[in-house]
Amino acid sequence: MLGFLQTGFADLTLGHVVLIGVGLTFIYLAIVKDFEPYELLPIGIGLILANLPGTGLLVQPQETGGEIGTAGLLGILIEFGLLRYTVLPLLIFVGLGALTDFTPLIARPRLFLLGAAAQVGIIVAFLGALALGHFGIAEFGLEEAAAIAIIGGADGPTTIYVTSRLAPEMMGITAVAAYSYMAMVAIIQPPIIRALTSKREREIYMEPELREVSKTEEILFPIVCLILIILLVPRSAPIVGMFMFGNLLRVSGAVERLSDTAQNAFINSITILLMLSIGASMPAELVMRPETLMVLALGLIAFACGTAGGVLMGKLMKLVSKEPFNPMIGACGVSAVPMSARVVQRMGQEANPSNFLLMNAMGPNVAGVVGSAVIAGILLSVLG
Amino acid sequence: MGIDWGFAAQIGGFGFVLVFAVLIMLALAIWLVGVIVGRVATSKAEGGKKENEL
Repeated sequence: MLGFLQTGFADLTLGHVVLIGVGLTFIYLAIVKDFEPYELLPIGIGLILANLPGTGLLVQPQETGGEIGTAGLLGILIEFGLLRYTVLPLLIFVGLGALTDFTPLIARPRLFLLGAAAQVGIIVAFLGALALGHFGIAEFGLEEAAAIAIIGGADGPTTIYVTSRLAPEMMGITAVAAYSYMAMVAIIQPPIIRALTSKREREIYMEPELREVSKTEEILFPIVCLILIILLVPRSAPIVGMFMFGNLLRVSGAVERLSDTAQNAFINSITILLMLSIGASMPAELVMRPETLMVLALGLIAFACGTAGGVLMGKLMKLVSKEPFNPMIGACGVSAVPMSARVVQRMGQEANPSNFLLMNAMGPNVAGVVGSAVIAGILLSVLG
Repeated sequence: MGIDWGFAAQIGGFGFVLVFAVLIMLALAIWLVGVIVGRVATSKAEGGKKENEL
């Protein structure tokens, strides 16, 4: 009786159950703990949908041999949004650019150095992943190592874009690692900052008011960055181009409606599609492997080393700076906007209640976004 | 897995140096833009003052 009705129970494996549990945990964290809710909630649902057997949702158009009506919704999103054309992570940069305020960096361009130094985490994780591959602990080649390392950029869309180009089978897990570590900045960064700075250094007072930035400078910033970066690293063009275009919408003052759309409706729509696709790109067969734990561990190492690199560069800049310079703001070079700036602000006030480091910390924070886009372009130039 | 460590070290070392180089160039370019825009604004303001005096 009811032989025509195929339930999913027969095909349900332990791996599926575990990942459905992970999906439910993400939803719980998003709703109850307010832990990166805009990302984790759709990722959680995507993860559950991807691991319920027999749905056909993940069938990609290229697998159907052109048969009409057989591809699944999530398969279509994954194939066209991530794997074949990679439009979703790039489009999200338009919204991110429109949301980013570069004035702290324009006021103090030397803070770009902190954004560069924090990229050391990516290099360390890249070599670390290769070492695991070399010793036969994991099957990581150059492309996989680069995809894992970019987690250290603490920039979700950059991680997704680079992974989709270099090691698409790892896309879901690297994206989840990047967003999870970004959400855990307040846990990961303080011990590293404390270990590398003295109490006296953490107390250093920095003028909270930065110089006034003119409208012309604000408008010229994305244009100069776009042309210069793309000329120097052409493969960073998709990320930098969309990011700076979004920022120009914001600062131009001429296209208020476009700016408003990019900052709200547009980025929200793309976030839904992108995160759902990311969650759906984690079926049990791809995720339930020992390599997944290694990816998570290497991502954490990348993030920690990036923080350390930024703080050490901050200490160097403190030595040569004429004005008081609090080296803690170097930790914000890992991106994770604006969470890491908030962490440094809080730690600064704990050390010296009169300190207000937020605006100073936002400079390296946005420099880190530019830095990770540049290094992504470099990795894609060499390996893509 | 056979890894070409020389190539990997090149990617890591060259990549890190290049990020620094690119961001230093950006910092210089943005600083220069700030200086030029500031000077133009100052000279405009001074020109405006003189016109008012006349």
